[in-house]
Amino acid sequence: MKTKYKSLISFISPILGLTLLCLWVYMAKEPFNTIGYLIFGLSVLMIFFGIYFKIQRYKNEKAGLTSDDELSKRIKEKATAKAFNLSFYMWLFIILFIKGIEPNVKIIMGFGLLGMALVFFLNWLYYSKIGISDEDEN
Amino acid sequence: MKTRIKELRARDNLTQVELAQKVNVRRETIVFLEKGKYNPSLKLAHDISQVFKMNIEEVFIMKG
Repeated sequence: MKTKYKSLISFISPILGLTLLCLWVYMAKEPFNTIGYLIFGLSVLMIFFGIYFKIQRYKNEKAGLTSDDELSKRIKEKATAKAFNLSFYMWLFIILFIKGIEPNVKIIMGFGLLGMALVFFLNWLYYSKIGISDEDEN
Repeated sequence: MKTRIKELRARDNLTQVELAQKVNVRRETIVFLEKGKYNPSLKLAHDISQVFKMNIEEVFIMKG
């Protein structure tokens, strides 16, 4: 019962996202430009997927099934690792090839990149030391 | 790796949801296992084999 309530509560985040998006559209003073449409489209897509996954989660819990198991955890880990790797190249591309970015912003982005590398290294150090015991997490 | 989960489920009249409930995983995980698209952890392989009252190597067959 508690997990059912938990999954119902998890609907709050996509609903909040949708509300904020509607507010943004409602309060916009000028019509969207290309970037505006792009951000709007991506946000709608993310919210749609968010709601879809929450529904799947709720259905699983209603059927007495777990919503998080070893496969979903592995998929999440793999997706996170891939996203982390690819974001390095994305930031590098932005710094090197997108024109019109102020040098100060480039320095901040560079620090962000170094920060990501540091976070990765610290995590790697941590898991190398304690190991991964995903068998006990269910 | 090949699995006999589908065949054994049919033998024991178990649905994917029922098997998933017994081994505490999502139904999707059972689907992936049956299609041979996911290699389970030793614990999950053991739990599934226990449901069918068989040894792990009788349920999960290594190719080659």
